[in-house]
Amino acid sequence: MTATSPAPAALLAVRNLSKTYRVGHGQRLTAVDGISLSVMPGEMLGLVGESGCGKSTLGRCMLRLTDISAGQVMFEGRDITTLSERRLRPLRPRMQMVFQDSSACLNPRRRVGDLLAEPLRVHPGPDGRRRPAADIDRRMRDLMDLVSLPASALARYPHEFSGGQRQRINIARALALSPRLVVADEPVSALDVSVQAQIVNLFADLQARLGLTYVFVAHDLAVVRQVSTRVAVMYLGAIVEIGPTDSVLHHPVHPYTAALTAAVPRPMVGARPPPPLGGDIPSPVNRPAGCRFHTRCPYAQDRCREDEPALRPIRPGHEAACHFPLATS
Amino acid sequence: MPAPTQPVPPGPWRQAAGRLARTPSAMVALGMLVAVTVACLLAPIYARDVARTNPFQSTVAGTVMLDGREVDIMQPDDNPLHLGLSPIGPTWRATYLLGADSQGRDVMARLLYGGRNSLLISAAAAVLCLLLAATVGIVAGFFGGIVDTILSRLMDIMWAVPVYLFAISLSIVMVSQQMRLGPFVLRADSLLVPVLIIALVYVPYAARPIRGRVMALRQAEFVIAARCLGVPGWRIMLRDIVPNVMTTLVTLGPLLMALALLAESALSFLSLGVQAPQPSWGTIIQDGEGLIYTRPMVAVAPGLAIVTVVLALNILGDGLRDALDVRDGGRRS
Repeated sequence: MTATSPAPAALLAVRNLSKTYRVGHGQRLTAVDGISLSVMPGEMLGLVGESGCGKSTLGRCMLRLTDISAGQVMFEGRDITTLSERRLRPLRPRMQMVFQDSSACLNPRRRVGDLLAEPLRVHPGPDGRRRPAADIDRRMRDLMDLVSLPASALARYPHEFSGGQRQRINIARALALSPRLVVADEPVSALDVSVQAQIVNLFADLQARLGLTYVFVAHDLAVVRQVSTRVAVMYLGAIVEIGPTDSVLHHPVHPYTAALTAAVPRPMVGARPPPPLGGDIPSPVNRPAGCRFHTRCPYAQDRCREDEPALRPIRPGHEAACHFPLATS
Repeated sequence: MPAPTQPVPPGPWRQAAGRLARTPSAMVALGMLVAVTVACLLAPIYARDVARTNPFQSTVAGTVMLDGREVDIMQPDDNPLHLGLSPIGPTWRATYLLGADSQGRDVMARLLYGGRNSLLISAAAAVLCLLLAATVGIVAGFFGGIVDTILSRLMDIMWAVPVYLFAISLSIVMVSQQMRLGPFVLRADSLLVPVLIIALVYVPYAARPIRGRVMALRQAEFVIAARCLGVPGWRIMLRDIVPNVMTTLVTLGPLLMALALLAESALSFLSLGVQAPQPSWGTIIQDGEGLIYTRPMVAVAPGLAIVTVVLALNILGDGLRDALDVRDGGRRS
């Protein structure tokens, strides 16, 4: 299975997906630039990259929370690219999202119990009928248990909780309808480091217990390492390297991934000094010609300035978009 | 983590009420408003039992007992020739406390009766205006697109007309001829006329902030989260957006009432609002205009009443705005 030819069993497949925004003066900002990838059931795909590289937008496109400019999104083998909000609604229970800002995504005027009951009230139960209040109540208690919060939290308001607890509430709400796919959009980046670990562990634990499929968006490689079986590295709206977590993070072949992994502080003896990555990420309104990374690449050659590299296999299941991939040790 | 044994916390409205109660300025303002309102509601009792007058009837030829002396209500002018008549000035006693107007009517009694009309009209106009503005603002903000464009341009057109000019033009039409809407006949001297006019002219002023709030809320992450959960649009509007707009409405309420009170007074002063012989603070000022040099109290008293109430409403509005800000009041800093 490779990223460019999605296997039929893929839970979620994205083909040549692009998302552009009009930014005035006839200019367009390309947040996502023709990405293709597929996510297998039970897989944990980590999406990493600097802020502004389009990883959150890609996550939102996957769940059709924003309109798609070009390309296709397939969920459970079904094309959902152009489905109306109404037609998407029956699919919503199976694809959920955990948002980054744990307080902004909880209505401050509603109690936790009310927020948690909402998806259970609007979607019919397994028997196709409205869930009885007793079922909803039981389900909410189970969910609170699942995320290690006391049932008494249901009577409280979101602002009474800490960031980590609020994120647990968000996770509980996303899991209320037993989804197959969970897109987590930087779910821990707004949290304290000590709390981050707890939430990351919760994600890993839930995956093991419920057999969830994750798309885990993050800019922190240390976080991604724990909850990903596969990692896709994004730069300026495109995937530059994708492959099994260990392969990508320990033996990166794309200079950008190498710079990212080198930026993670870790105990390492005798390692080669990290190539410093200068400058800022270029504007997605005016993307550089050729390789999108050549403006910051320490190894850029003439060819990189003219010719855009496509993703190509480097090792089994490991692809990179680079003309001159780093030698693998 | 709050201990599980703690009682169920109060809702955001009750918390806001608690914060408001701890704001001295807002409580003073509220107290003043309540005092003025209660006093105005007691106007008939004051007129009957204290002032012992009929504030609607001219008593040009009457006399009144003051400290055992009989005093003319209409007295010769103070000028050397004693030409013309001036009404009795403030006696600072139960009868004619603030003096009489040019028709010999008790100013204090009329002030209280006028307050009933002024407060009723401004409160009703504020509520009606908020209802209209909320409908326009929520529909425009939530649906966006062509609906928003049409409603917003309509508001812009109304906005472009100076508010008093607009109100005066409407009043001239409605006061000069009674309106017939199906089975309903709106008489020219009905209090509904100023209520409708004032409510209408201030709709754009209230609709714009409401629309802005709804548009911001539509992009709020908790609304996107609700969409992601598959909550239908109408339910998002009712359960997630409207409750968050309510705070904006409640905050706008007192400010709109203050504006409405000023507009009502202005229209009544121009004889385009409350129609004689019904009093309102605006009409009393008009009555006092001719007496401004000899008996200034006739115009000053209702003027002070307007200033007091408008000031109190503004202070209350500020207090409400601060108290209702969920984020400021929450534990999050």
